[in-house]
Formats: sequence, C-alpha cells, structure tokens
Amino acid sequence: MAGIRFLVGAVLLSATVLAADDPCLKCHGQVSTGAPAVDPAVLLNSVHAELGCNDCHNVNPELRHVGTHDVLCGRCHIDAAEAYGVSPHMHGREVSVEDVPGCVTCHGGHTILAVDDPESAVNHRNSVSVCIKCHEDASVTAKFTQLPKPPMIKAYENSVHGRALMTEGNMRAPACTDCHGGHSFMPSDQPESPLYKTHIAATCGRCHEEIASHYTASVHGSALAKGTLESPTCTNCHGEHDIRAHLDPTSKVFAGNVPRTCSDCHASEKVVGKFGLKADRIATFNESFHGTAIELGETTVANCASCHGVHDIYPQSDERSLIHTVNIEKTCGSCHDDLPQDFAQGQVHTSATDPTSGGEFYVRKFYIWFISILILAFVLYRVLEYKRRVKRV
Amino acid sequence: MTDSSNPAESKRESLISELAEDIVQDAATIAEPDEDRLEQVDEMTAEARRRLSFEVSVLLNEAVTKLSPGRAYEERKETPQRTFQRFGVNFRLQHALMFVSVIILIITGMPLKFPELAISKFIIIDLLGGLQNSTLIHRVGAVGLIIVGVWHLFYITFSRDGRRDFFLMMPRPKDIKNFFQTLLYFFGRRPSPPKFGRFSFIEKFDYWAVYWGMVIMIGSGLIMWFKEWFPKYLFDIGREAHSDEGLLATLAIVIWHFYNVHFNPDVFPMSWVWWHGKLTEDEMKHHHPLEYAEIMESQSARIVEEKLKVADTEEATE
Repeated sequence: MAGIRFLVGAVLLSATVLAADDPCLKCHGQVSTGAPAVDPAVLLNSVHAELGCNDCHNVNPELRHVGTHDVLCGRCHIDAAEAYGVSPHMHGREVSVEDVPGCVTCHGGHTILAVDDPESAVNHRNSVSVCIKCHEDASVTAKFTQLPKPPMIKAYENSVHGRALMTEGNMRAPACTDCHGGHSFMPSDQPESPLYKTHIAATCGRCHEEIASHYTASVHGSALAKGTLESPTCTNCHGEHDIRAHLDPTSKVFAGNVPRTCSDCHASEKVVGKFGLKADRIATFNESFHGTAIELGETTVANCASCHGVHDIYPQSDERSLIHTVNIEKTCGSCHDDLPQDFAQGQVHTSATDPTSGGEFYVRKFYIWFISILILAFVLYRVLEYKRRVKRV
Repeated sequence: MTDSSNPAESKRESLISELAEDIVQDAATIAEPDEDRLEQVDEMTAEARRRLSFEVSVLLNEAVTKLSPGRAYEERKETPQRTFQRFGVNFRLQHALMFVSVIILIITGMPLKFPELAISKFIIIDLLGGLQNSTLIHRVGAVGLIIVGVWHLFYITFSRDGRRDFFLMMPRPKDIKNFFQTLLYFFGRRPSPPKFGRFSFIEKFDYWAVYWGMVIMIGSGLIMWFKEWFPKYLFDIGREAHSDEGLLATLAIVIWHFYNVHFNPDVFPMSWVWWHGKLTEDEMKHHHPLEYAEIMESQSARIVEEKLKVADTEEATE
C-alpha cells in the first residue's frame, strides 16, 4: 500500500528535471553569487538525485522565490508524513521548530541517502546516534520536561541489545526505532504505541517469537489480555532500555535476582491484596533452604522460575503448570533426581511462623521458649555468682 | 642630589652600628656561658639517662620473667603442688575432636541461619568460596561429631574410667539439693558453697546438655542429609530443629562454657585442663572437696594397709 502511494507521488513529479541540471543551480550552485550554495555533486550522490529543487522546495522557478521554503517530503512519502503527523515530534514542532526534529534532522537534507545505505544517518547501524543526539542532550531534556532524562536513554548502550548492535555490530539487534516505531514514535502511555503495555509482548515477539507465544498463553499474558494492567509483561521482569542477558549478574532475571524481581508484585500489598494472591510467597521462599542459598550467592539453586516456569507460568490448578500435582515430581527431579514421590508431594512454601505448616511451627515455638529461658538462667546464674564473688572479696 | 641625601645616609649608618653593637653584646653572653647553669644541665641529663635505663631494664626483666618458659618452670618448682589426673588421654582426645568439629559446624552453619548479615556472606562467599564448599565442610564437621558420639558410647561401655565416670554422672537427689544450696550461697544465706564430689551438678548439667544437643543435632542433620528417605514435613521439622538447636548450642557454648573455661577470672585467658587433664591440690580442695577427701582417705588407707602388710611379712619371716 505504502509502495503504491509512494509511486503515485513520485510519478506526479516525474516531469521535472534532474537536480544537477536545475536552473536554480545557476545561482545556488556556486558560492560566489552570495545565495545559499548547494554542491551539485552532493545532490547527484543523494537518493534524490533524480528530483529537481522544486520537487522538495515549494518555489516556482519561473516566478523566482515565490512560495514557501518548507521542504515538502510528504508529497511522496505520504505514509511517513501521516505517521509523523501524529508523533510527539510534530506536536513539539508546534512549540519550537528549532529544537524538534523534522524529516531533514534525521534523514539529512541534500545529502539524503536511502535507508538501506550503510552511510545513511538513519541506517540501522547509525540510527541510534541520530536519536541520542537530542535525547541524551541534557539541555534538550531540560527544555522539554516531559522527556525521559538522559541516563534512562543511555542505559540502552549497556543493554544486551545496545551492545549487540553498537559493539558487536549485530545488525539484527534492535535500535530505538525497532521498538518505538519509526516516524510516529508514540509515547508508551498512548494505547496506539507499540510500547503500550498490552502491545509490548507483540513488539518484543517480532524477534522473540517463541517466547512471546509462551508468554501470551501464560497466567501473566492472559491476565493482561483480559485487561489486568497490573499483570507483568516482558519489560516488567526484563527491564526496558537497561535490559540485560539472563546470565549477566546485573540482570533483573539473573538467577540470583529473580526472587527480588518477582517480589516487585508478589510481595507488594497493592497487587497481592487486589488479586487475592498469597502474600507470603517471597517470605517463605527466603526462609527456605533455596532462599538462604540464593542470599548467600549460590545460583545453581532453585529460584522462583525454576519451579514455576519462566515465560510459561500457569496457575497450579492448570495441568500445564510445572507445579501441578502431575508435574511436580518431574520439576523437583530436574535438580533432585533421587527425590521420592512422597517428598515432592509435600507442602512447599512452608513457614515456621505459620501454624498450617505443621510440625516446624511447634518446633519453633518450643525453641523460642526453651532458648529464652535457658539463656536467661545462664546469665542470671553468672550475675549472681559474680555478685557473690565481689562480696566475698 | 648627593648633598641632600648625606644626613639621611649618616643616620642610617649610626643605626646600623648601634644594632651591630647590640648583637655583639648578646653574642658575648653566649660565648662566655654561665658555668653553674651548664653543670645543672649536665646533671639533669645524667639523671634522665639513669632513670630511662632503669625503667628499660625493669621492663626487659619483667618481659623475660613472664615470657621465658624456663623462668616459669623455676617458679613452679619453688611452690611444688601435688597434681591430680582428672581426665585421661582418651577423654581429652574425645573433647579435642568434639570442639574441632563443633567450631567447624558453627562457622559453616550459623551463616545459614542469618544469611542476610554481611558477616555471613563474608564467611560463606569470601572465606569459604561459596555454599557448595561450606556445606561440604559442614558435613566433614558432622562426621567428626558423629564419630565423637559413637566413640563416647564405646568409652562409657568398655573403658573402666568411662564406666566409672558415667555412673558418677548420673543425676542424684543430692544435685538438686546442691543447686538450692548454691542459690542460698549466692543470696548470702550460706557462708560457703556446697561441697561437690567428682562431678558437681553444673558439670552434670553440661554433660547431659551435650547428650541432648548431640541427639537433636545429629538426628535432624541426618534427616536433612538423607532427605530422600523421609517425607517433606519431617525435613521441615528437622531443618527448624537443627537451626534452633544449633543456635541454642552456640549460645550455650559462648555464654556458659566459655565463661567456665575462658572468661572466668580464676582461669582467664584459658584453663589448660583440656590439654593436660590435671588439677592442682588447691583446685581439688576448692572445686571437688568430697572427691579429694575420698582420694586422701583411700590413699591413707592404702598406706596403712601396706604398712600392715609389711609388718605381717616381717612377722611371718620372723
């Protein structure tokens, strides 16, 4: 569709002359005339070599400079212009034309090259540097306070995506526009944005297809699809610009950090209370040997995801759930291959502070009294002995 | 120009010569010093030197006296005391293996009860190189403790000393009486503490406390070690009991036992009985008067017996 519309636009302009032969260059082609100069060689090298000046600059060469000097890209690039028309950049331009990018700011003016040309400013390889020119500039973010601050943008450079693209030169890694969309750049709070909460899985799924399909079917994905906006999507667990590989110890989904990441919701009264979830899941995990081991830096031990699944988390009642009665033995067995069925079917997430956990609750209760009384007796005995010793002396 | 500057020049010169005279006069007093004062200074330095050398020699002397094993031996020879062998080699070796195991177990076990503390993380991660190492070391300590337990059971069954001590360790009504007598003594209602035999009620309490602790710790530890033989709820109970009893044992050792053998002013910094197993006559009289009396009695009885025997043989030969 876009192609056809572009073709129509281009054909309408086909009667014009080559840029390099344009009569405008009589004055504008040389510096000596004092008019703003354009190098004909640059024009010939650009993707628009076959266009005349008038195709972009809305001036009438017969009548000399009558008309506006605006560059009219939308005459051919109808889709791009439409998308740009609703973008925050367009809204920004209504406030301040100099500070907010138009077509030329990103794509280049007379030097403009095709997007797939590696030299193009908006080629996949280079596009990040075009965006960060403004978005990492503190003077720009200070002027437009609704913009995220530079550190948030800068985090991309250390992310798994940023490193793959910028350091390793992996051209399949996403740049800014791959997630945020080109031209329209909708802010993530707008329901049309590819980064609106309900669209994130689909956006990430353009590359991470299989994972996205697992997630969509999971308890989190289906809840979100039903409109429960508290339900986590990709970015809630993995992060946004600062997304890291799961083997990186600074990643939110690194084995040692998973319980803390899950606790963002599962230990949050707001979420737990609203949806009637069990409030003690994180606390009981921390109390368990698995939790203790993670706290002491052991990452081979089970974390939340080891038993509940990663992207494919289902409620325990669902037969697909890794912790459903039919699967629990196999799940425990993935680490403890010698564990008998009796053990695997036992109660998990028990706590010595919870009477329903059985024996350990009463053991704890006994020892609280036992230790308190004994230690008190020890100390008392020593104090009395010491006082008597002093008296004797 | 030169004419007008002459008076100012001469004034400057006179000032300079005055200053120079002053300096020369001051220098003269220094060049010809006061003989009395010089003598005084000499005396003072000599005195300071004498005192310093005296203090240093005293310090050195004290250090040598205190640190030299030869001197300590001499001192001991000066005040000879009879010693009494309280603990034999077998028992002392049991104690040694026990405290080595328990120290290992506490260091590798306590951090797991308080994993959020920085010191726990330091011990497990930095010192021992991770939980997989520390749990392995913990099992080594556990084997040591189990060996002590079994060894001791053999000791109280098959060794004569062991059997005797085990029977003397049995709680008796006298221990309860002694306990209340001790309290009365603490409150000033008794002039002296009760008299103890070979084992006081406190020592009996310590001994049986270790029995209790060994049963709980080894039992719950084995349940966790061989968890595949037990249901999950027993594992949970075992883990809770192991954790709480471990804390109790650590506190008891630090507050109770370390006071007895380290921090008690009588023995500070440490009682060496665990090493040589000996008590002096004074210690025997003071801490175990009844046992002391018994030994004395049996010894004198033996002496009398021997004398009688000698007399008998003499009679027979005659």
